[in-house]
Amino acid sequence: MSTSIHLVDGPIPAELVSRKITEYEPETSAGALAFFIGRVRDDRVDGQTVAAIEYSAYDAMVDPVIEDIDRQLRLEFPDLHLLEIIHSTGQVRCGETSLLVMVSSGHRKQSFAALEKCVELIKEKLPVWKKEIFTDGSGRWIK
Amino acid sequence: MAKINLIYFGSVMDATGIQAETADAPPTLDELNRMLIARFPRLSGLSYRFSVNRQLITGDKELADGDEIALLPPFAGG
Repeated sequence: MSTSIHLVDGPIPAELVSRKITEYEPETSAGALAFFIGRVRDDRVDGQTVAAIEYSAYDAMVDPVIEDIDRQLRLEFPDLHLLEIIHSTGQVRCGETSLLVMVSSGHRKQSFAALEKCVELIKEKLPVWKKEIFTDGSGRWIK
Repeated sequence: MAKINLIYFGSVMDATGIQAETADAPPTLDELNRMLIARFPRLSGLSYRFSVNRQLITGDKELADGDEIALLPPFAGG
């Protein structure tokens, strides 16, 4: 079992997903891998269109929060093996990936359920903030 | 005089105009909050929580020399 989080500067490259699948091949007791890919959406706000999101994080608080999320998930989903989270900081443009969550478990049901719960916990607990950057260059913090 | 390290994030950072600073420590978190609002009036219109040494705090807390205190607007990860 392992858990990790990485903050990366800018968008998360698509190739990372295939690399993770390959990296995890030696873990042959996990029959299921589930991924969540969060992308920046081109929302329209008060007549303005979002071009990108600027992410910032309280780096020093991220690890203790992830440990807490990990503890909570493993209590609820004992079949959970791997939990890996990659989150962007800095600017990510519309259509690009800003969050990648990967979970694995012995069987598929707990992968699906743990993945959804993990994403909800990230949104609730991870000390990350985002500012919408509009096409005219102005910005607005998302509350 | 005891010193604390203050860190401001997101909309709070826009309201203070600074990212981080070292300051003289008031005795409690409530007192610190009052001092910050007096200094940065825009804070009074914002929603935020405090963490002390990377632990979220609910309610008041005594402050100690070297504490790292962050003002955290609502999280918006993902």
